[in-house]
Amino acid sequence: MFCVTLAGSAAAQSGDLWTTLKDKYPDEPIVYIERSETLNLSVKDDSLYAYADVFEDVLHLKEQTTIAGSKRVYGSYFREIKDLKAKTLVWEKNKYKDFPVTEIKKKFDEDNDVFYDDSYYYAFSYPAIAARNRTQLEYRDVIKDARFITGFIFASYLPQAKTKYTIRTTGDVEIFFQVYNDPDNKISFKKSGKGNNVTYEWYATDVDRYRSEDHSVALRYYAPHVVVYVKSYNTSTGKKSVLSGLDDLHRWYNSFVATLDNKPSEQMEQIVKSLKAEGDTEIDMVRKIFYWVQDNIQYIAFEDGMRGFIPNSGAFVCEKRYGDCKDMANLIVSMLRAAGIKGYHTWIGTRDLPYKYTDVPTPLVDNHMIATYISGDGQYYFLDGTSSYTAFGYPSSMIQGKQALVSFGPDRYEVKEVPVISAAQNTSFDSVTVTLAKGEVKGTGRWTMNGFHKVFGSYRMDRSEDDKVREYLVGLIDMSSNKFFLDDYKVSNLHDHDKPVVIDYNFRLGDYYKEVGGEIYVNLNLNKLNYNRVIDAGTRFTPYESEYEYTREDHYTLIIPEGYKIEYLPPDAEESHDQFSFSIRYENQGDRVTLTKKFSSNYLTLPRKEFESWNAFVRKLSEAYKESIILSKN
Amino acid sequence: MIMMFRFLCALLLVSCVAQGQAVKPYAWQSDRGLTEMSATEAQLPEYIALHHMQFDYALENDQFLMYATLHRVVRLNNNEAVQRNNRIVIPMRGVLELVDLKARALTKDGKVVSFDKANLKELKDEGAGNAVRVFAMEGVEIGGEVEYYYTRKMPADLFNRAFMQFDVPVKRSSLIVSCPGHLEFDFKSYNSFPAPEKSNAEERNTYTASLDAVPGIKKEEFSNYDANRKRVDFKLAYNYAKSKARLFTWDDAAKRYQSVVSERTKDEDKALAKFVKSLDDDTATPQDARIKNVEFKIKTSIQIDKEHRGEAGSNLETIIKTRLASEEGITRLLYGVFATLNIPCHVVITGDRESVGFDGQFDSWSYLANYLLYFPDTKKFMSPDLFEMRYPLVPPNLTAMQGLFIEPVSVGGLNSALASVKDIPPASYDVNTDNMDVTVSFNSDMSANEVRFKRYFGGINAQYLAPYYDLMPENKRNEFVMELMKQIVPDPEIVKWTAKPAQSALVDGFDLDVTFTSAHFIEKAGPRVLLKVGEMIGPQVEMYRDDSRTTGVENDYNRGYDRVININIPVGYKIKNPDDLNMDVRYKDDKGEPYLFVSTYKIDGDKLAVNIKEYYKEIFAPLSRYEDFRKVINAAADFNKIVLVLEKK
Repeated sequence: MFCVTLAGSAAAQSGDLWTTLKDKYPDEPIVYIERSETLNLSVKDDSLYAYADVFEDVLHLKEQTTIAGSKRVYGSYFREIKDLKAKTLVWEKNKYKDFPVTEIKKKFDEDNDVFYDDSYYYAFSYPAIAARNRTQLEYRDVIKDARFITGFIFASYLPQAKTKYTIRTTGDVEIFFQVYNDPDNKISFKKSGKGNNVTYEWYATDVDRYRSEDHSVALRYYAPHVVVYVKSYNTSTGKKSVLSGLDDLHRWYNSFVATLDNKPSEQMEQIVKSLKAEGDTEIDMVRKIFYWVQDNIQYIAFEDGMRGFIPNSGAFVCEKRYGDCKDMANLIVSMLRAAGIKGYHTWIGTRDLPYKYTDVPTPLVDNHMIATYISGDGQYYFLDGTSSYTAFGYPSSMIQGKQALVSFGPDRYEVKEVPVISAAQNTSFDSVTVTLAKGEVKGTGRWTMNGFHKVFGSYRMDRSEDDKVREYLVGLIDMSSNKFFLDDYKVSNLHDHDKPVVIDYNFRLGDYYKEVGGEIYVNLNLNKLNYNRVIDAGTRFTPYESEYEYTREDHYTLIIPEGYKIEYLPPDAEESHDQFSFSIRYENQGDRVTLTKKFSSNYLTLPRKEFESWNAFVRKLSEAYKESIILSKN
Repeated sequence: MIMMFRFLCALLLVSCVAQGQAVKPYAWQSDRGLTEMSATEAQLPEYIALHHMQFDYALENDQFLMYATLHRVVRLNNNEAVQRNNRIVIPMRGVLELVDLKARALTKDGKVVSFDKANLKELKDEGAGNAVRVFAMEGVEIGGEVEYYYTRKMPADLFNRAFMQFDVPVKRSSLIVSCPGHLEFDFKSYNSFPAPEKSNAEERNTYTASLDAVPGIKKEEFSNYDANRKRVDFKLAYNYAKSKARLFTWDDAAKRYQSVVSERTKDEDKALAKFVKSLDDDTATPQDARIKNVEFKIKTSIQIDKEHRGEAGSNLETIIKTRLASEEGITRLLYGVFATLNIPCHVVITGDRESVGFDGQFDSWSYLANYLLYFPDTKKFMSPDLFEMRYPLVPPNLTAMQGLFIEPVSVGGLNSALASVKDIPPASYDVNTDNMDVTVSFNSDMSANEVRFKRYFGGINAQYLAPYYDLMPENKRNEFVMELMKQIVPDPEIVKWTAKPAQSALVDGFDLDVTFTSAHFIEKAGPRVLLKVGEMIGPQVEMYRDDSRTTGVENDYNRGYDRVININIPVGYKIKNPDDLNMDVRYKDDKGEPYLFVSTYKIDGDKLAVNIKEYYKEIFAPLSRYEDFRKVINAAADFNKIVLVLEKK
């Protein structure tokens, strides 16, 4: 059923193929001759059936590629892998001879984030891998529900000579499709038909491998791909909607929560009652319930068929004290209800997913669930129970800027954009005073963290082992020295959701300043945040991503040792762009010198066109970091 | 990793007398409150109130089985402790039946929330692969306890190990092993866990050991964690129903493994003979070269597949055809090739120093975990089953301890083997090198340096560089060189570079020669120029003072660093503080100077030459000398801090 022209018998042609592709990819050890997928959509007995036939044909151009011989094919409850066949085509006496894979093992997938997961994979190793040989794989991916069709990503981890995505269906099935991230129109499209049969075909040649780069946006933001979904199909009783619009998606999602027994249990009512204090306003109660869920429900995820979509009842989660995102979202809604307050089930995609509900009304758009509360004055509160240290009023950082699908009932919903928390709300401030003595810098500091700084810091500081906390703090305070000694520290407000976390600490820096011939050289830029952090603008392909926007302020005071005076103060420096800025100011206060550094980063995604200005900015910042103060004897 | 033998030796063990009493099911105290503890104990973030392991061996229907029970009670006083203890994973690989499972959470008020077994989940590979049962503890809260036990029925492990110490403290740590009365187990306790005491009742032998107030053991630098934990190793040692001879001795192991590795079918021999011809062996070359040639050909054309266990992965005919081999299979193939080529080669099996190592004094086969090949003519070793290890380099974690050396012997035409326990020496410090030759000059406005940076990696330091470099496409090589340079300097502007694996008779290495410019090493203080010469050797880690250090020093491998930095002093400048470059830190003991860091300099006209010698010649140093060892390690970090002040003459 696959690409007969490439099968083993076409000997001479395949031999040439090796020469051709080796010339074309002189550097590459392995390439795809072809990678293709054919999605079949058919209507039988008024039901819609979907499966995809997957085929890959890989050519080994160089020797020593055996380390690439192991392969995995993933499936799950919703995607059943069938009829998997794999073989090596061994080049022998000028033709290819089949060498099938005989041992294919089905294994469960131990995902680190999900505790119990119904996904699985088939694992096998291709035999006889050597230059000139080919490995071929085919299987059928049976899609349990047509709503889980996702389309096709053209990019792969290997270069591809030929890539093809085909949909075979009939005039009875109405589909939607759209190509993303193909600015040079490398993907060609053809629609053809015969009788009632319709074929859609997307085709590309010479598709580059995708790059994995650090701090990169997710693959779907930049890799060329086709998004496909079924809008409707014809049945004997008329047209049946699948995902003809957001109404359909919402109605389906709502059915997961509408049938839940969300009557407050006795336990839940007691908890809600115990939280309530005299004079509490509605918003006080929302805050308390949100914090109670954060503090008392442990995140444990089970992906088990439809349980991947349907939450457990609030009473169940309240008693068991653990759950995943949807369990926590539903528990918040239930507890709010027990307190007589309205909360709403809300679906949302994290920032890994590039789509909007308004463009792609399918399960491809989201992967997360939260609760929403709307206050009397129309303010939206996005309550993400999985984020343990997030303050009330903040969303979790991973859903900033994303569309939320807020459900008000079986047929009522709203799409609302979650705000991006500004740099001014994610602040951290370090205030440090240092003295110089016997080659060592001694100092005390007070670090104050707010917003997402606090959230991410708290995960690292709420630990049993002092060593782990210390390790985090040393990395955080980071006085760019391997002789930074954190003598002692105290962390305050770790468990107070509404107050900034404060870290008081004492430290020493060994061999930090230089005393030569009656002069002291000391660089007061103790923390060199972003020093020389240039982006390789020439080769980097993907935008640079930041978890959140932030501002940092460092305030350093140097007490001038007795008998010394200031000989030289470095010049002030500053640089400002739309998306980042810094300033460094020195001040001579007689018996002391102060340095105040302000840094702000106002982007979540830095596009490629900004790399050069970022680099210029970083170079200027790094230059400023290199300046030392000179003190001389009176 | 060698698969443990699980002999189906029930018949061997069946006694002509009774099979011993049946095993009593394990039970916990059905009704209880929170564990009583002192105020200090109650304040610990996480505290194992009970860790109990029990192995009840039994003969049932001619099968030798064991019932393995784990019982734990843990007090949880913070969020992290809850997170670490609310998901329970029961390993089920090879388990016949989960006989019993009970779990409950006690709230901080002592209220009991019992686990509903209906929520137990199973994850299973198809066939006889891996499997686990998992469940989430229900009703867990901070300040409360979790308690669970489970009993698994499984084929008996004849060689077994029980860890009795963990990263958090344990109030009571206990072990029970029981077996039918005609059998006897032998035990060895490590790191001062008490030796089990034997008792006999109802036709069963029972061995019991326990320890109260076991402190938590934390991970320490230059130390292997598991080897320092309290534990008990045990093995089936006697079957008095048959004889008084000790079972499963090292000699038995030698015979067994020799036959596994060396015995071949006729078809295998045929395939092997043909395969050997394809290897281009040249008998005229020295043995070292012949060994290297065979290894290179095999490791680069046959994939070592750790998943690929069983018959197919170890049959030579199949391996040669499919180019896929299990770890055992590739060992058999190499052994077979060397035998065919008449290159003397012995099998060595040992443990893993990163785990508990090897104890030649206690003949438990659980120490037989990894294969090596030993060449008596060259007195060198080979790691048969690791792609990146090339003769004569073997994984350092398989050296600096003993191993079981197996010498094949022929007695009256019968093949057999002799066992001896001998040292596997670690590679010398001058094999695992990381040498630098750096030449530095300044640009005209003294704002940047041009640096020629030559670096040679040898031995272990080259293991992930040399074998993979040839496989990399050109753009990856660029990235790879950039990554290596960024370890030294954050902003290299690379002018030109060359890199190549360096083959030598001694050991393979990797050569790097990069010319770059960078502003990183220069800082300014008004009219003065500060040269951060110390950073040119790359960032060195400072080892912190640790007054509560509990374990001796154990290095992963011996290593040496020879570094030369040549600085072209700019015209019209002089260096104010060259004496800062002098450093001399030595660790001395009765054998000499196993660890040292020495830096000296010479100025000749406008050339400053710095010579730095650093080495670590011994794997082990005693706890009492930890501070002295630390000083040598930290000398490199001290060198990092050296800044030269340049001023106009």
